[in-house]
Amino acid sequence: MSVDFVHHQAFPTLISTFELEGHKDEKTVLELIETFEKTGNHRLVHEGQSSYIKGDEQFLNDKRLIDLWKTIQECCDVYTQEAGIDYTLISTSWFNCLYEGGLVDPHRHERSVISGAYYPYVEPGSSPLVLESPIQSNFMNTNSISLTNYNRYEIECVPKTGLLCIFPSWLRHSVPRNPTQKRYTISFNTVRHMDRNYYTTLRDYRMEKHESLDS
Amino acid sequence: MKASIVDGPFRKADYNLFPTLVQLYHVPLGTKENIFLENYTDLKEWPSDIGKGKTSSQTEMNLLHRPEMAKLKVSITSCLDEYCKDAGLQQVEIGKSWFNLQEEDGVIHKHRHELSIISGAYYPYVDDGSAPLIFESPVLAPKMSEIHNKVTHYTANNMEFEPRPEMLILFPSWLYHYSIPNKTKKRVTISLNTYHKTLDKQN
Repeated sequence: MSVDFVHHQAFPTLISTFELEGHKDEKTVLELIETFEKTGNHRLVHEGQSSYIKGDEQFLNDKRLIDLWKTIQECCDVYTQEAGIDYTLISTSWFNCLYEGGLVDPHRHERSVISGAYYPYVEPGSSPLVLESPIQSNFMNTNSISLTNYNRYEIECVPKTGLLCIFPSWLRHSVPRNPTQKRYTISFNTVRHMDRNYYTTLRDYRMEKHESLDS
Repeated sequence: MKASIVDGPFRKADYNLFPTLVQLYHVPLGTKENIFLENYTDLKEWPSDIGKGKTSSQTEMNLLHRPEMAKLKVSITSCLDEYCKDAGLQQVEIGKSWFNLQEEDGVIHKHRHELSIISGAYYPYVDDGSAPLIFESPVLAPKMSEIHNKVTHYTANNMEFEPRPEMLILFPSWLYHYSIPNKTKKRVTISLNTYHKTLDKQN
């Protein structure tokens, strides 16, 4: 019997990772994190510190990190171009520090388009970023006997220093209990670039001057 | 399962995560089956809430279990075995199967096949240009904050498969699908559902 066949991997979700290790702002970002005064407890972050207090934080907008902002923004543009969605602009950004036993509860980033996690420093063996399958609720009538791309419930993205991971903001994700002493993440959200004028605090530093230079 | 991140320097890596498996096969139709299907007349109209066209589903739901269809059933079962292996699923058996005829303006509204594992559409005969089978993206719901500016694998709201004679399409039964009004005179489909072999026998 001659049976020709074709696989169609329909409706996938795009995750992009970028290697930013050795970025010129890497040392500065670590200094800023380790001397930052306004950290607190976030309801999703356990055994760790977060600079996410009110929800409108713009850690990456610090003038000393503008080159890192531009690099991450360029990676967002590469992602949106590949995915076929409108260009985005980094809106809010904050950092999380997880220590031994630290974890982040499952969540997603409502009202954002794409989100990202940049790891300025992680000790080897730190906890992965766990991304949950958006189609798992459909698997209620199937019996899986081996793990494949089509029936997995989640995938783990193992962080390393300098890695940037970009994903749709609607994708639920979490961090399981961290076994290492130090796992630093800078997280960010985005809005549609065309909507930036609706937000008084947003600037595209590739076209607009930094607010510290306002007279 | 861990995503494998390349060792050493790299600029960018893309991952197509959590895809839905749709498989297409060419399954030749034997002479015996062809004669049987050409003379098949036990058809009634679809209820209007399901679509427009003729079907055996009101009277005959075991089409592929008939002796005249034995060879085709073996071929389709072999494809189902392959689908299960590729998708990591326990093997399935063909359950209900029925005959559909869509003539001009024939249409099937959006639906899915509850209680089934994998579903299939086999086209023993279709005129050129017959209406496609259209699958709806299962990840549309959460995409409320993004605007799509081009159709890519990641933004497609649906995926169309133009039927050809002797083509079999296998897909997860939970995937919503439909066909738009047909513009040709003849579009014949054998639809099928499945159930897990040993699991259901134990019950």
